[in-house]
Amino acid sequence: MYKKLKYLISIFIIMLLINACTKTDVKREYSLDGDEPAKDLQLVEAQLIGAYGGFRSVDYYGSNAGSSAFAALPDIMGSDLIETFESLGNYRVMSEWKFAADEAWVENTWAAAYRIISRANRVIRDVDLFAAENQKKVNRIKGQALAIRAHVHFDIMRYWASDFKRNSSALCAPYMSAFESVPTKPVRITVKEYYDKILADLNAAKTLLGSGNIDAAINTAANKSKIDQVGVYAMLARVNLYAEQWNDAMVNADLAIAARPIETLANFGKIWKDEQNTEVIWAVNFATQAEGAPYENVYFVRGNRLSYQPTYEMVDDLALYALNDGRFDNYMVYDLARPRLLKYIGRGAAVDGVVDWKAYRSGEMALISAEAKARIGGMDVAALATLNGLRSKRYFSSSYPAPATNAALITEILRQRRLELFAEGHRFFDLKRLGKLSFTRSDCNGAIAGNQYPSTICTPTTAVRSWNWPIPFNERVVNPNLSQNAGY
Amino acid sequence: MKKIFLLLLSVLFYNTLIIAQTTFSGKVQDNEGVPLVGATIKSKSETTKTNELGAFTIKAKAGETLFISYVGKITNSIKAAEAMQVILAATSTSETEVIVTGYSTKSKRANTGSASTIAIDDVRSQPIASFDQLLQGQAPGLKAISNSGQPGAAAQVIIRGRGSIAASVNPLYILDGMEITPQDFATLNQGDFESVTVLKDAVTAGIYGSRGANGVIVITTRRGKVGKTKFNYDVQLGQSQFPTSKLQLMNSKEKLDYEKVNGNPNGWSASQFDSLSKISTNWEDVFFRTGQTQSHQLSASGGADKTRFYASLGYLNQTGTVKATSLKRYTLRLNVESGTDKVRFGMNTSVGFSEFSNTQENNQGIASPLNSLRWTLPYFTPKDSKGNYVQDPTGSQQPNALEELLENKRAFPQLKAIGTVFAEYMVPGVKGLSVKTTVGIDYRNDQQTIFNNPTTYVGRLAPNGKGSLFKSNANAYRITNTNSLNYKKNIGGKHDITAFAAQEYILRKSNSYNYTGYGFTEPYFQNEAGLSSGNATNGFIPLVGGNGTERRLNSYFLDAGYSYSNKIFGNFNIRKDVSSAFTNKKSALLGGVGAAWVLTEENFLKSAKFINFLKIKASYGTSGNQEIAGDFASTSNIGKNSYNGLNGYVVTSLSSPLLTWETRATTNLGLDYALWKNRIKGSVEVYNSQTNGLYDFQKTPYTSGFSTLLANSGKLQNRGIELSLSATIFEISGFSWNVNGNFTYNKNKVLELTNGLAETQDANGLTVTKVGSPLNSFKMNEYLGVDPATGKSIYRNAAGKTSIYSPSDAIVFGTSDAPYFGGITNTFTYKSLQLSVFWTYAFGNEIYNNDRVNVENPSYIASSISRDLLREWRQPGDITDIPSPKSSIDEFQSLTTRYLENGSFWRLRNVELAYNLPQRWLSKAKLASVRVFLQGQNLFTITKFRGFDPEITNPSLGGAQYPTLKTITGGVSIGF
Repeated sequence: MYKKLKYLISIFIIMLLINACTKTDVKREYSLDGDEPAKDLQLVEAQLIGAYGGFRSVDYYGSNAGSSAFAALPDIMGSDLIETFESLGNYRVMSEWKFAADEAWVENTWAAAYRIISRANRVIRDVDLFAAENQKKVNRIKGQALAIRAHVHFDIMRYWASDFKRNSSALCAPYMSAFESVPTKPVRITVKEYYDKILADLNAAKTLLGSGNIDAAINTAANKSKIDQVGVYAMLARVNLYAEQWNDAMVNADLAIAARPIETLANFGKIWKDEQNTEVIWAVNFATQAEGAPYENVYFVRGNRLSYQPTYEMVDDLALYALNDGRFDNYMVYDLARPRLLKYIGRGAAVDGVVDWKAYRSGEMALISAEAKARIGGMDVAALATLNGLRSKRYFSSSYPAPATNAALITEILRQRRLELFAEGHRFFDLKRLGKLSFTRSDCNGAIAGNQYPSTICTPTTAVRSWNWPIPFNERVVNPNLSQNAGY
Repeated sequence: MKKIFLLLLSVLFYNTLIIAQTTFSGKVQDNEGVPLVGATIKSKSETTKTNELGAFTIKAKAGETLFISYVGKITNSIKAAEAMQVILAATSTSETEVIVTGYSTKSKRANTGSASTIAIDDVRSQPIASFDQLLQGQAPGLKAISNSGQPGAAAQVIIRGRGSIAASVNPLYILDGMEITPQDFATLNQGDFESVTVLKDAVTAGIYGSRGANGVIVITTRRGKVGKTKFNYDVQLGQSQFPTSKLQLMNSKEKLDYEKVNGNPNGWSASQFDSLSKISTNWEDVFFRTGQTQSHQLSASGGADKTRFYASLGYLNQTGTVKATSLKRYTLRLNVESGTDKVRFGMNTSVGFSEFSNTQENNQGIASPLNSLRWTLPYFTPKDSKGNYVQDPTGSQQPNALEELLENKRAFPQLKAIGTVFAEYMVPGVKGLSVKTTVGIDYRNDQQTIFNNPTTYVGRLAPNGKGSLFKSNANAYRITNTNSLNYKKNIGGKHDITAFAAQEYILRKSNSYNYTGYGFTEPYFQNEAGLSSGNATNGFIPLVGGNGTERRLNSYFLDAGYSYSNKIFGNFNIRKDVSSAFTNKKSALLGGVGAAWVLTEENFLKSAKFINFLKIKASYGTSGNQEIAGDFASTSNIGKNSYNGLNGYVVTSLSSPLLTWETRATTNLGLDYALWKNRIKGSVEVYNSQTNGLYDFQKTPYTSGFSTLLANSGKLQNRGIELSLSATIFEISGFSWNVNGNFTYNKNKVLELTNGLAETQDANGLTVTKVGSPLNSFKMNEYLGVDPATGKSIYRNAAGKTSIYSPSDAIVFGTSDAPYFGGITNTFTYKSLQLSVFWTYAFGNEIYNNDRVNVENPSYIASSISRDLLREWRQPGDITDIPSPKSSIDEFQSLTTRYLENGSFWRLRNVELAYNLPQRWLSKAKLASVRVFLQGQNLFTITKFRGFDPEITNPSLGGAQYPTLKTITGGVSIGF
């Protein structure tokens, strides 16, 4: 009996031990479950912030070890920067226009752009669940998400579409209008269809973000880190400029300028130090060094590594920056041996490259408005007035060209675009938009200033296919529905 | 039927009774004269065992042959006589070796699956701080690649080929029943290890169920033996050297001449050319030093009655050959076991502390000192005449390698504590049934301190250029509880049944936090005392982060074995695992079955005198793998980012609701043999394993916002053959020569990928996963050389040759995983003197040498470059293999076979000369044993790979290689 009892007790103990710990459910402590729709509007808004954070990606407006596709790269690929021997050569394939379909910078850019779109789509998917709770707050969030979606899609178009005409039947890229829990294999749609969608999103955003429709101001006087209604005007102005819808470009640019008047020359330099932002429409915030910096692959100021420098004509050719041009000293250092870009060296007195990326500002709006007016025809006076509205705030004296003909006016506007928007992510796109204009980098062989450069390719535009980026090789492997651009 | 059987038995029984019997006595001892307790003596009528003095008595017929056997000894026979003296020689044949599965111990004879034991006694004294590095070449099927020579760095160990792509391929390491990770070996003392067993197939590793797919390495630590307490002191001292590189750079004169003809990229004046050419610095000399190794271990073991203990204290101090790299390790261990006949209770504890100082490796950053070594111009000196660090004045601005190495600090202290307690109870009333419960706690604390001095390049990159201090603290613990029932029964003398049923629960939890502080505005401190308080103006706002995760696993399993007459064996196991890592498909049912037959026990082979032992075996079964990154990988996850000072939330991964175990089904066939009086022994095994439900980071279209989705899709095959052989070449008058070797061929092949895809590119951009090819198969454009007329690179395309690089011309080449590998040891013994020479080899693989790309890329001609560029194409007619560096002529492409190199190697891994002092000297000094040895590690390597070392685990050598070291050490082991 006693033996049996011992036996039973031991079996009992085993059963007890076995039952003691068998639980295999683990509670999340450091992440949220993404399968559930947002529980509250606060999480939706936090996801909008998350989408904005995507713009800091090194493959978008950030730079270090990334493509910096919409900040530094359009200038690296353009006519006004030239590679130096300090460069580690990481972007030579881009500045020489030698990239193939498997180029990592191209692939990374494509990925970074659609990543932001997906985040915006997630916000758009969930935000309407809370319409009954706070419609105005919903409008404020949704309007920004729509604007982000349109803006990024437009940036994709700038690299990948071969033609920017409003009704072009050339293929653009997929337009992603919904968050995909299960990825699909979309096709490239035509530029026309693509514009339709961009404009539909922007127009919806414009309405939603109207001052009476939102619950609170999006930006403050001191902080323009988000896209408000003025930001949407600016986007509409830029999109319509590319689409050559001159009237819409003009109207929206003028609305933007009215809201954010052009900065005086006295304060112009402060824009680049984040000390003054009257003129700034949307500045992508880079808060700390840990969050990155927008232009380090051109001039890595912390490491004092100048990988790309302004070409000779930007620095020393008076035909471009005249002596009375107030922009020059704010943009670069006059040092023929080592001309350095100053625009992004740091906030305030800091010299660390950490500074906001000015995605839209009224300087560009003035040039869009002036160009639109000049192109419409019969508005040259108004166009010149708009242009002078800018030039008067950029030059120490009013001795700058007074174009007499429409053609001369347009030439001067485009020249001012080059000067005003130098190193702001426009040059390559402007050359492409204006007819894929060939260029030769000034003094590339060092004949005038005596500088040596590692690249022996002075006229990269001979690589004709490179005007239109290839659909990334790996993307086409996964999604065979995407046709390739010509030449790759 | 049953009746006839009984009748037969009774006839046999009756037969034995009628023969006249006498009682004989004798003694059994080993060849050192130590009495063997419990040896089995068999006569025709009786089976008996020796007592504590090694003595026995047995009933037998005079002159009858008696068989004397003992575990670990060669069975001997003697004619029954008075006062017999039987000596049993030690054996290491497969007949008597023991397989430790971690849950139980089996004789190798009874093993139906694939398992190898590692002769830990032969390798533990190798001067390597991380035990897994010692496994190279030690067991068939096991490939260990060093990857790094930094003291304490872990090796990559793969058993029977890569069985997974997205999940871990590391084997499961079990120390005294507890799972540990390879990183732990830096803080564990291999001097404490008693046995190391490698389990490779489904019936052996299968008992580990969902964790066993990559094989299991089971380690047990030393236990005391009943008797007088024995002490042992081991000491070893030595030195290490950095090996030479096959990749040679230009010296000052060559480099300056090269710059002259290539556009003077650094802009030197004529007088500068002249003065610089007088300086010639070999940066390897600046950088490297002779590394020092010393290790000490003091241990004691003993026991009385039913209590046994083993205790040890270990100290290891190894300095690397690169300045400022080192490992210091302190380890303590106490293993105690006690109890009664009914209850056993024991505890194994180990505490280790190590401090690891390293330098960054295998990256492409200019701030990594090991890269600077390659890239710094030879015409600069590390310091000027005043002793200040020289900063590179050229555009390349290569940071001063020596300064970066010496002025910054990288320290990684680790504290590790492992404790297991077990209690075993022999259940009364049921003979052979015992209950055991084991609870183990494995705790690890990892800290990191990275101090970047504001005077260095990396320090200047910190906010306001004032340096930084990164500190992190990570705690990881694992609790394992195993409750088991063990049953053994012999039925009718010939049928042995064992059964083992258990429930096991594993909880794994880790959390960490870290911060980076800034602002070392004064030079007085290199720790927290020097940090500045941050504000928006000075930019010294510290960064703070942290993370944590948890995983749980609950399992039930059964392992049953049957043996008939100790010659036919059957084995069966089944296991159910439930893991927290999955949502909808949490559980897996895995198991295996095996059988073995010792043919030499059968009459038809008994006559074949030259065959001493022959066993055939077969097994089949499944095991699983759940070691995917992320404990919530089956659901979509939302993580945090920031923008404009606000927290943002982003979806970081898509959900994969059907995610479940990856399973690996393995068929194993084997043959164990011993021939010609056991002079030749070994085994042959063939296996075929297939991973089903292969984890695959399926590429998703980027347009979805995501690049990958983890899912179980695809199939992967590993097939191979393993040979092991140990042979005594000759043995005459005190001199013997033994050869011990193993060879493995593993053929890895992708059978199926997601959605019927034929091929996907791997994240490294160099290799592809392609159906029909092995994993890590390189895919790139084939480089055919240089067109003598134009200086352009020529690549192969579909039409033949082209000078236009197009990614669509890329084709698949070999893999980076060597399919052939193994090791071979020659041991020469003369009396007490022993010389062993151990070679390891791996061949049939390719390595992409990115380290060479970096010194051949024309983008970098301003910094230090390869001597090969001296023969670059310069004018039409030049016949060479290096194209023109001018981008207007040739477009430099790195992803071509120009940089793909043969990774095969044949390495003299270890040479050891050892001498055991004779007993007559020892007894005067009152010592039990003294062994003196001298050994050399990695003294010689044959390879075509153009770097410091071909032992690379990644497909690409990115740069900054810290190769395995050449080490020579001498040591003494004293027992008293």
